[in-house]
Amino acid sequence: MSDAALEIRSLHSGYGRVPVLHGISARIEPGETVGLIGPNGHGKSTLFRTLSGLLPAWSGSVHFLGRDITNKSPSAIVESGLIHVPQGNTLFPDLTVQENLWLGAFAKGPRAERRKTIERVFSLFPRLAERRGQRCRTLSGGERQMVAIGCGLMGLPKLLILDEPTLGLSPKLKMELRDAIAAIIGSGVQTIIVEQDPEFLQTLATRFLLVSEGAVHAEISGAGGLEHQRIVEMYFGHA
Amino acid sequence: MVTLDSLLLGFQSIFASGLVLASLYVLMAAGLALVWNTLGIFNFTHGALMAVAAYVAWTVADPRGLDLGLAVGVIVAILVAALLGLVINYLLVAPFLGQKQIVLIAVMTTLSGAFFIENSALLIWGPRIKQLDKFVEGNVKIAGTTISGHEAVIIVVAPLLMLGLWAFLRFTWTGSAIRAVAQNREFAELSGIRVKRMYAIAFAIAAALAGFAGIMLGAIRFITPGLGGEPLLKALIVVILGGLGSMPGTVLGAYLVGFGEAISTYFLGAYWTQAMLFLVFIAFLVLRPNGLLGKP
Repeated sequence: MSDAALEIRSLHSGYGRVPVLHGISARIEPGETVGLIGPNGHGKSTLFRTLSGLLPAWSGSVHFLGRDITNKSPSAIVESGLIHVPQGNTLFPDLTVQENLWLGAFAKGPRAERRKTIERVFSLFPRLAERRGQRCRTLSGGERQMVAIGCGLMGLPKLLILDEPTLGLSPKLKMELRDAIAAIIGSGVQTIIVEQDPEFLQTLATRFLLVSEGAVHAEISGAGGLEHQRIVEMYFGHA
Repeated sequence: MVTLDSLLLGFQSIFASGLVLASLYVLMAAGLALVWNTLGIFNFTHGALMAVAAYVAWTVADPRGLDLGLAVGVIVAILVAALLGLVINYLLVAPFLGQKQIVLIAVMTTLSGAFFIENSALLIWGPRIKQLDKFVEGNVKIAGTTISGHEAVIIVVAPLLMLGLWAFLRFTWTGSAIRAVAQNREFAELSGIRVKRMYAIAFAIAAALAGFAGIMLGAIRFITPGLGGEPLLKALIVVILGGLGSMPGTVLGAYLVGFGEAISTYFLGAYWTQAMLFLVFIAFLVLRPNGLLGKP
């Protein structure tokens, strides 16, 4: 069997002494776009914080492109190409858009490519080019999300994790972001997207995982797309 | 009788001494502010670092020590201060970062560190007071008042160092990363920035700045283990007055406190000046709890 893009084996983690992930396992093949859905507070963000090294894994393992990255430092994980774009307004608020993007390319490899990459980010999000000299705290929610995704792209990801990219955005902005994310996926960047709204993922993801109570609860794959019915079933057990 | 001439003379001497004091405060406060802005703690070993650097510079430079000249002494002392800063960060600060009570914990650990360093200095260098040679001999006249060449050096070097620090933080990768870490530690980690390394670098730079301030002081005042005690207090006032988290605020605060002290000393005398300083400081904080340019 060839190496998975990402292989998570019975991962346990949590905050302090409180466990959140109860032995979560998942395997993500190269090239597939995975959508992650599931109710709030059931470990989606905790999973990604553990994957990116912000939280220690209590037990279990994470392999990325065949390499063991369990409990590696966040910077080592970023350098290996697994880049996690966190949810919400988590930027460097008093740095400009451009400074934020530059810092996304902090690792040595991406740093050498940064001028090329930033042009790509600007063509993807033309609004960021207009606002490149503006401090991030003065941006709107949608623009901040664009900066966050842009920062992720600046690190030349081999696997990009977007944690609720449309949280709190208007439907119109959501559509805009969906097009941008589709373009990112189209350019060959493998992506995992977390969303509250399964419809948002319908056209983007090729496989869906439902995370619930700290484990992968159900899984839907198939090119036939996602039927609303199935999602309702996933959320509520039965429809 | 107050004549125009005497008034002018008064202003001249206020200007000169204010400028000297302000420049000293800039040097003392810059490192303290850098550590606060980046790590979110007050480093109470800042004053002890000043004293150690002054002692080291003296040992290297003085004929009774290694007799290698003042320039070598200054460089060695700044390096020693930076190294000591790394050690302090590693032992007294880094293990506690990320804890909720980090501000209080760091007060306790760095305060005990300061006692340890100051008493070690007493053991190593003894109680006999020492003094560094002035950087330059002779006097300089500014705005009609004569000050020593050494003080003139301080006046010129302090803003230059601030400019250098600003350029470093603004234009280099490491500097940008230090600012980034200060603003959002987690996002910095996710950007691939080695956060702990940035903390250590910021701490070392701050310690080097403290060292430089100590060396400058060591040629004006006598070098004792407590050399940095009063300057540390002043630096705290400057940083808080200027506004926590704002480097320009710290510089502004330094010049305000410096000139304020000069004015107060001229009109009220040195005896009342310290009391006045704290009175104004407290009154100001009641009106503007975040300081001049600080963020809420």
